[in-house]
Amino acid sequence: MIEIKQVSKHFHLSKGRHIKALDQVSLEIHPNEILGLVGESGSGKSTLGKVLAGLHPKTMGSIKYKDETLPDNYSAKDFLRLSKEIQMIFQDPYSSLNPRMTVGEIIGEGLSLRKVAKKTIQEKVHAWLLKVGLHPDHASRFPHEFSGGQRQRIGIARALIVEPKFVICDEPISALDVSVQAQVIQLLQKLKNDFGLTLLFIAHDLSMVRHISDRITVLYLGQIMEIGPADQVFFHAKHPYTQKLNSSNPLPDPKREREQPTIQVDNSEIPSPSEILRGCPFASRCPHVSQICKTERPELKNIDNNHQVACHHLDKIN
Amino acid sequence: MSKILEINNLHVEFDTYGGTVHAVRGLDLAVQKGETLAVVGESGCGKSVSFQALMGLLPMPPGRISSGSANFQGNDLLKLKESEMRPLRGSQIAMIFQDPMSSLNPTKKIGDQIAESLIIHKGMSKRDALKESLKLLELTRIGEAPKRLNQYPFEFSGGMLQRVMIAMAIACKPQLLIADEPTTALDVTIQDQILALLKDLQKEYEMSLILITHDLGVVARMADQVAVMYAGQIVENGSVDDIFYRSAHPYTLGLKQALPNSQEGKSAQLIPIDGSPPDLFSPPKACAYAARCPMARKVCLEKAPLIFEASSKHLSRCWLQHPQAPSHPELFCGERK
Repeated sequence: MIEIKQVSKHFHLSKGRHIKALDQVSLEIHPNEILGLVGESGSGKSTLGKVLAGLHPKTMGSIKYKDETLPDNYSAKDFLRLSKEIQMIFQDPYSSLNPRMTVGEIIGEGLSLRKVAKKTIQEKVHAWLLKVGLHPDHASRFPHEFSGGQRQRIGIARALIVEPKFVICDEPISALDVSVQAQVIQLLQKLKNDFGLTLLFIAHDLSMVRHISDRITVLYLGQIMEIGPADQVFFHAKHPYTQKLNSSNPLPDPKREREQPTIQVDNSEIPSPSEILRGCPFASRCPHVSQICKTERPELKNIDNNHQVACHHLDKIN
Repeated sequence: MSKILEINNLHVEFDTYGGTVHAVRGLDLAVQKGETLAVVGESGCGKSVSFQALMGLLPMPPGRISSGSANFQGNDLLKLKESEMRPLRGSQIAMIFQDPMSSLNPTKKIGDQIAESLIIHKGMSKRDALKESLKLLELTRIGEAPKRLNQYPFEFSGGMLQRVMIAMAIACKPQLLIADEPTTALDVTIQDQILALLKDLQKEYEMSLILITHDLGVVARMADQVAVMYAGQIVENGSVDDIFYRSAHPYTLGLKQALPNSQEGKSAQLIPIDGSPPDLFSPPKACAYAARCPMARKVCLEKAPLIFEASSKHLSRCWLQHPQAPSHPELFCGERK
């Protein structure tokens, strides 16, 4: 459904320096799947989402949606056409809704831009408010009257009312409380099934990504480290970075936490993405590092059906 | 084991234009020497406010401590004057905050900020205090510590700033450390490092640790005792195993069911808790959780629940298993005592 080929996104800093937020990322997203995208801050996961939605022009590479190659720089016309296919749900339910528009205007804006009749818009807005678990009366209220979870529902209705096929969810639950997270996840799963959506689910909560996703992609400093079926990546990670992420992730199970072997904690920091990296981006923190890791960038290798890892020392580690 | 801190019937209120917010409504809590108590709850449940009140960090007004006592080594913290609180705060009891970026002074060098409490509380000279600061920074495993002393907060990453906060907090070897969401702003791998550091320092200094968090994973990793808070009250209190494996309160159960499980191949549906927490302008007279509770009975809406002792150290504020609940046998799901 979506084919991302060698996509890079560089942000320019002063004096010719730049940050490689995305560095030659290649990825396919299949129809009707949920692809999870995890990584720490600065890994480029939000950038990838925004490049896919056309909010950031890409520096290099190509993105194909169905059979169409997407433009590097979106014009207003491109946005109007493609936002009917590709939509985005944003992380912060507080800053992503215009405080001066009513909820009805926010949700209906995508339709009114397409010159849909007012009456139809109103009906659809009401229907969508119900679908996301709110009340049609809420249409005349303003965003500040709602809680975080309710706002995220508004954000979901806003994205889905134009009936897109592909939805990018950029950390849709990280600003929410546990009990509300579950509400939003359940809603997303239901809507995905009802409308046959394809989702890119960006988050840093590994357990939740594993719960909702079919496949998981692990990103580190703008490069893909590992990609594979959710359970494979979560339980049988092959890349040392994924293994580190998994062992850092605290599980809500005291017995398992006690049984976990205490491995030597390293106190390395995530390098700044503005540093120019040769070789493997994880080399500075990797326990298995060797000379080749510092000079040569590892390629994504197939190790199994759909399971790919970028590491020089796969045989040695596993 | 002896109690280092005992809070009884703490009430905190806020006066606002819209009326009085009853943020904390009768908090009872005890922390033993050397143990870790995790206080869990969702945003707005009063977990941070309780401990800010305890430390005298609550702006008053609008805040108000309307009743309660907090016994720390023979002193009632809530009755102390500001001048009496000062020698305790930062020295005997220290606190770490969620957002290290905004909790440090951006215009002062890191070394000076750590040295400050040593100069004030221990009467050290600036030179000695800076030397000690270096040791403390090294203890928190920051790389290139001598260089770091002369840097400013903006030159540090979030994880490093949190290490600086920890160095400041343990400078005077406190007996009680209150950590308010210390890792919420950090990435998992950095969170892992900070939690391990806290654990090690706690052992070394024999500190008691109060860990305020909403992350049940962090609780499972760190806590000995757990207190679950809801709408300004503790609804369940017990050992970490009691809370996770023998949950007695429907809210605790609800929180657990809302989390994804971590067993391979199986992915049970998440069960969200419907509804939202009660309005604390006028909190319900009876059980605060009743409106969202799947097991609520008539009595839950009429009478405030009494404390049920599931075992001697495992308490739950719920009618469900309570022997004194009105006797309609069909109302009960659990075993009756």
